[in-house]
Amino acid sequence: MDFNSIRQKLDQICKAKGLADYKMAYSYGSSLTATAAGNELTDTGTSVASVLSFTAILNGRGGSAICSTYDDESLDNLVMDAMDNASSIESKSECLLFDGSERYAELEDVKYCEPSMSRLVQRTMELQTSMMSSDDRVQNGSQSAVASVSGTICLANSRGLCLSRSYGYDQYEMGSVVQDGDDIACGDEQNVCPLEEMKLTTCVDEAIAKLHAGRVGVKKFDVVLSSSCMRMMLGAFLSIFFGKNALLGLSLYKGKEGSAVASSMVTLVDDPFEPSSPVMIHFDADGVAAYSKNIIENGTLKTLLYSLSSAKEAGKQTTGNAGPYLGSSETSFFSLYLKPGADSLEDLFSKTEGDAVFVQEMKGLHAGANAATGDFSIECAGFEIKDGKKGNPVKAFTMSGNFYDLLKNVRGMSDELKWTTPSGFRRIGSPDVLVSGLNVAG
Amino acid sequence: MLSRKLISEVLLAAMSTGADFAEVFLERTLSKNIQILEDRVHMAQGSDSSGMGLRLYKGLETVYGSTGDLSRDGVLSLAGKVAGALSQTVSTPAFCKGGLRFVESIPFNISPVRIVPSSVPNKDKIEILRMANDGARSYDSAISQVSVALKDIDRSFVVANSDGLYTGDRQIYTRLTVSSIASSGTENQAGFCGPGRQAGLEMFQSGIDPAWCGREASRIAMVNLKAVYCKGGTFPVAIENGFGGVIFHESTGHSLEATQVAYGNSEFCSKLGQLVANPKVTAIDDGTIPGAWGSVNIDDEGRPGQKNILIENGVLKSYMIDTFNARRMEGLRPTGNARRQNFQFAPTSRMTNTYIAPGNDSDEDIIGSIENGIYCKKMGGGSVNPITGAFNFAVCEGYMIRNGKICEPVRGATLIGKGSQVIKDMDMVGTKVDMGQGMCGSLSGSVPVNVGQPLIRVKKITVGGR
Repeated sequence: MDFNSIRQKLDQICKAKGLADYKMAYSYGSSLTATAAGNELTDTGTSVASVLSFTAILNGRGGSAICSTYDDESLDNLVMDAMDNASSIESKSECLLFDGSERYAELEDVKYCEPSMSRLVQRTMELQTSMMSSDDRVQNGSQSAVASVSGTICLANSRGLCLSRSYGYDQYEMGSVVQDGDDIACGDEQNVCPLEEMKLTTCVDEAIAKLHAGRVGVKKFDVVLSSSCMRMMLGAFLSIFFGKNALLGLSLYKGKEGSAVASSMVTLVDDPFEPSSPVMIHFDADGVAAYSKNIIENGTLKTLLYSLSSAKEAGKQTTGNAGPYLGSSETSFFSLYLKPGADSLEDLFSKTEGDAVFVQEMKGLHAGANAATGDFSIECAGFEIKDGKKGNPVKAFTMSGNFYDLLKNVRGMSDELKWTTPSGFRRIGSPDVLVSGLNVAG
Repeated sequence: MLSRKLISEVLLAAMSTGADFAEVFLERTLSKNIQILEDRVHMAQGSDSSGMGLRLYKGLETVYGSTGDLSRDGVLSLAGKVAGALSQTVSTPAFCKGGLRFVESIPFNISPVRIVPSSVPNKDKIEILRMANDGARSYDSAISQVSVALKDIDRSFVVANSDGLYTGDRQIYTRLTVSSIASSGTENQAGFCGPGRQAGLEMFQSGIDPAWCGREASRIAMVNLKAVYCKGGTFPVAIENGFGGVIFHESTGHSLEATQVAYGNSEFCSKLGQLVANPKVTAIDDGTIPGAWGSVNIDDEGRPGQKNILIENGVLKSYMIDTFNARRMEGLRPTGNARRQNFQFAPTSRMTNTYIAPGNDSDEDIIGSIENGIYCKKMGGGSVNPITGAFNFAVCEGYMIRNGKICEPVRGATLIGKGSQVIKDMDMVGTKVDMGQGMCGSLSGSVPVNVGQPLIRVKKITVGGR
């Protein structure tokens, strides 16, 4: 069922129930995937899914409900459940409806054509063959996966707001397993690009370079965090930049807007229209026009991220960062990234002092990083840096510190900005980053 | 949901390009999540989600499709898509010749539910939340923030396949989670308590006290606020029972799932019958524990849950196997471990309730044996690379051990190691098994699992700290 039909039905149900204030979000998505391992295609997948989220507002408090079927009975139950939930809410935060921004960014229509499954399979096998044949040490456990992802998000409310945006892109992911004697190492790479441009780049070389890794010892080190590791760190700690979390005492940035909180090299940006993004969108989950903003500018905290609700509570203006679109939304982001510097990765190595490590792999941030405290203690692998140059591989060490301190101790940024693959309309970018004085043990 | 006639049509259409097996998975899940934050009901959200997953096998190739459109056109369209995705060999499925007859099976219910949460009004659930919130808030004046949530899930599903299986189940989960923050004014520390059962709200009338859960989360936060940073290095550690079992889950459990083993991506490939662990270690995955968070009456392929001895006295006895990967593992059978988050995921081999069985060492002997090490009282989550065996997990409440005595609390510790080594280094195993609840993420999404063990000693492990 199309969104307009669902919306009309919901308008009728709400009118009959005397519900005046409400909002809804509808997401429709489809995907195709193909995966190969060793020298064979192992699985393919196809998915079509839609979700409708409805928020009823009673006395300024919003309660929500979600469903995936849209017959009259299901929609009636959806509204009833949301009203029941709204009547339970006691929060100080108001659920606010928005009439619409005066102007929204004008974005080009997304012209994405879902490829055929046979084309997807063909590209998957070509990638896999290129990986398997690239080196004798590549093992059958190596995998390539290609996906086509597309969909639409629609937003509407009882004030007449109605917005929508589509997206569509292809992405690939390759994971290599290499073995030399008894030693095994892994590498991976992923990217968003047209099917024709997908190719093996670094994951086999990366894995081979990690073979026969040594130990690093226990010490305070200068650390160069690879782009992928810094992106993981940002992902684990980005909730400290949410205004709502500051209000709740879950971020130490409460009341710090305008203060120096990081090295002057740090500029952290959230830009919905970052040119390389495959998932641009011109509105947030409140329907507020999305725009680019510096969260940290040359080390100074310029703003936290706010929705309509958290901004009102904090006495601020919304930054157009309500999200996610479905369910009980609060704060989200679009393309959030650390602005790159001017150094090459080798320049960062040469700027390290004493013994240092290049951290290229991190695991377990979901458990080893605590956004409420800023503390982290994480399993890592990478390379020694000796005399300012990349040295031997090292594995099985932990890196511990505090994210608030890490931002203050940034001493260099590389010039290459790399991105995570999108999750909904969100992605994170970072260059490689030199940080001083992190605790390493292994 | 769908009629058996339509399910039969879907299976037939899906197999029209040469699949040798097809399976329909129909699911409807109701859930409710209510949260108290800042002493007030902050969020209440319901969800009603339904859809169909359709899976085909053709030899060692598999196709999976899913749709939320359960109309006749929707499900037949999906059947056409998955059929088209197979490398094409047009053929008539064997069952068409004799007609597909479903033989229905009704599983034995090991987890009866007395108070179905989806039938209970919000206000009754909010009472439970308030008890937990009050318990957490009243523990200490330094508790600056408390978040309490009650989530219940009511999941019904039907599995029907081209072998004629027709079965289904209803799984009801209830979990209370409490997160407390203790603040000194300049820094925050956190504590967590999150008991869950495959049960209804009766779990709060017998066994789980919401107020105690609140106090426990705040107790851990206060311990961490007063703790010093753990020093990094290599130490012997004693890991407490309950969620301490995450060490086996991460270090070894994932590497025994067919998802890894069938592709040669595990340290434990081809090691059945070999001594892989310390002889004191017996490890079990048991999906048949009544009311347990990770139990299954039937798995998501319709097979009854099983108690599988994975390692017995250090010897590898079994992997955890789903039907597709069993095709790649000659001579081995599925073990009732096929699980998935929902219909959007193809099922694969996953853990259920996994634990180290009791040994003979007393807790006093284990702690007393450590001259300079760490006592890990509460563990957090972790992760593993099953290919290399490298694993990690976080210590949420830890203490130094000196000269056989538990001393000052330490924070910020992470334990890392290699799975095949750490289970050899588990050289003391206590007597009192307890379980903890977690959500395990892997290829088929996030599923509820129990981890468990008695107090154990690992004679040497890398500890991350400052």
